[in-house]
Amino acid sequence: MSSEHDSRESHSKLPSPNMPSKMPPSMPPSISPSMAQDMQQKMLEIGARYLKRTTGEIEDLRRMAANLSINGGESLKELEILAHRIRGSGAVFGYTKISDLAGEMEMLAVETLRSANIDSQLAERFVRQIDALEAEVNTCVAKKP
Amino acid sequence: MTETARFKDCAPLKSVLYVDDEPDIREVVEMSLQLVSGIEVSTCGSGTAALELLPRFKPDLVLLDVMMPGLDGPATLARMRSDATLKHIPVVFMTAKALPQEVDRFMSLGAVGVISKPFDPMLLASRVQEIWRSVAIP
Repeated sequence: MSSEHDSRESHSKLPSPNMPSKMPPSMPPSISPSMAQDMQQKMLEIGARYLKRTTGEIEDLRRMAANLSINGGESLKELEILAHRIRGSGAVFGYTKISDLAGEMEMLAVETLRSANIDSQLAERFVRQIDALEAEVNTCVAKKP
Repeated sequence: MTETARFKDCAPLKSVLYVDDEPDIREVVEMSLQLVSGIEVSTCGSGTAALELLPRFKPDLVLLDVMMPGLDGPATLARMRSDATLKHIPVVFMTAKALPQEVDRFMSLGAVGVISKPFDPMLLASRVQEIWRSVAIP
């Protein structure tokens, strides 16, 4: 990889909801300032939709946690996939804390699936994590421009 | 051969199929590749949908999310490799699990590249083009 590429990579992050709105000083040459502005605007719009959808998915997570005692492995896998999705997209849109909280949930699901140890405390642990995630999503929605 | 000469020899990347169950990320990838590189992008939300779409769309390259419900990325790649009409299409995995041993595993499955998530939308097109050049030039 060239040093030019490294330099671009370190300076060309899109502004995210948690970052200043000023565009970075250095862009790939194929991206004009107006194109960068268009992309920034579009990212804000898609990011807003992500927040709205995640708000709805909190209820899905609660349902999955409630079903752990009935169909443990299946609900755990569902939890893992949904938490993974929320984590990955949150990071792309700059919602770092949402991404981290969803990542913790994903990790708990993965580790539990690996150990096959679904104890009586597990659902409560997930509910606490979902509560924290919901609080952070609500905070981000309230801050949204 | 100089790098410039290599680029001239390389057929341009014209079309990509992006497969991901996350609709927001599909939109970001589509925007990024179309706006920055003018690549024709088609998207779908599952491995099953991709296998139905591929014979009609016939993209130059497929970008596959690894973790999807139902047919995941590796399973979709395996189906493509066992289909004579699809096995030649280069596949790049996109994943949040880009640890070195995972990358090795994906490459051993037949992927031509792995792109980490989260990615920078400003740089995605250049990363995809970089991988395309590495497979398009013998």
